[in-house]
Amino acid sequence: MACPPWLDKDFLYTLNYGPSESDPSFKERLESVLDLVHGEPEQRERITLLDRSVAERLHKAIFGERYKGARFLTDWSEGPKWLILVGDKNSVTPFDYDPHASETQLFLRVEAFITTETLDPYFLRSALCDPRPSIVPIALDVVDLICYLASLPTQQPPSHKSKTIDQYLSDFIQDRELRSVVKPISNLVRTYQVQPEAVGRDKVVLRYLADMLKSATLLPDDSHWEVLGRRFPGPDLLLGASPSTPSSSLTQIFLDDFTADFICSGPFRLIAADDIRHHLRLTEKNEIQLFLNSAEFLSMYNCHSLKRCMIECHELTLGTCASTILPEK
Amino acid sequence: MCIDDITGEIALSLSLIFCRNAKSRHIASRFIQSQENLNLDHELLKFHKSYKRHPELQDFTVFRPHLALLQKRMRDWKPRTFSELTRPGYYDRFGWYTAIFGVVFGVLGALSLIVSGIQLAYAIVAINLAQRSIELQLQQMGMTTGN
Repeated sequence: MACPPWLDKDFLYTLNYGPSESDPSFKERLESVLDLVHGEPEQRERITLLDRSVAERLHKAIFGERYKGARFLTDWSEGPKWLILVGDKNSVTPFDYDPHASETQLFLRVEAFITTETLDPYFLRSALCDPRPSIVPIALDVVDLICYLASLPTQQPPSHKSKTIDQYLSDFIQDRELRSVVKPISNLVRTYQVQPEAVGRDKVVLRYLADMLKSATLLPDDSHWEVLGRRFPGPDLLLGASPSTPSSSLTQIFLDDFTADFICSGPFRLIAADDIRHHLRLTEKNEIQLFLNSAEFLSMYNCHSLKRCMIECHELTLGTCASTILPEK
Repeated sequence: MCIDDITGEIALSLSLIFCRNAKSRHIASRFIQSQENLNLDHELLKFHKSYKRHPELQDFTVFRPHLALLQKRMRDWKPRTFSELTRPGYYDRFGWYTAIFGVVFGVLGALSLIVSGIQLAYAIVAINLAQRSIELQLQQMGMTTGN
């Protein structure tokens, strides 16, 4: 597919690095960009809006573990050896996203977040920076945030209680300057952090960072507050907070009660869920939800930088109570 | 533990629900038919290839609290509407069957009471008719003796 004619190099440069322009045609182009990022994935997979060197840094930050070589080439001599053939007519060049790579959907989501936060005047981001910001500073803040969270130690002593996302993001703001937030607001947030009575009065930057994290980990339909309250490291980020049950309940589970015929012989029903966080959770209508596409969904995280942090801590926590588990009935 | 373990636990939970007996497998096949774009067969087949055994409690780490809460909700369930009275709970089914037995006998008792009432009404009507026929016969006998 050819690149849209309005997406020329000058426009792309301004989009990436600013400054904003009041030219009416520029605004029209911005609307076209929003249509593009929310449009068909097939079209989107052909176009990288981010500066390719920044896109490469972002990709490396999110998928560092599996990252090999250059994914976002800035120069390319056309030749068959560089092409991934898809069918007879379509091909994926080194300038396109690979639609077959499991992480492509996640990365596109990050880029869509960055672009939308930048361009959509109704989004949270517009309150943090005036005039209209460009997309590279946000991308670099995402890189910093992911690198910071990925660097957190996952091996903690059993007595250590993991922090919430809210607390980690607060620490993150304390340590560094955000490129995509104007200084007065950044400084204001730091002031709030050292005044406990003022905490909660203004968490706009924390919510903004929570949205960044949501996009970088592909957590759909979550409110900022829900993400901010989750414990990290651990699987809470991906699967939502675990149901709170007394520890005695954990030791008295009779698996024979979970067969479909037994469940359906009573008042509960089985239904399919489209969100992994709803797996084995009950609705208000007494429906047990089952997430059936787990393998496909989780394949996106196989090479994610935060994969290690999403799971290891939980294993430690459960390891401490494993010795108290009674035998199954 | 890795992401694959979460995938494995989800497959285990599906196997736990759908693969432990023939009735459950039958429900699974109906469940698949009612859903679009789902490949549960593939998931279950993959599970069988990977594990080839029934899941055990120690296989569940991430989803153990979910199972515990589900079981608690199953145990604590009580009917709240009239229609829910017709559904047995998961535990103390003997109590439910006893209640249903009592209700059935109660309904039969009420029906027999109604039938008895109807019988009584018919009996009264029959007595009235018999009395009238006797009176008529007596009248006829009086008329014949008078002649």
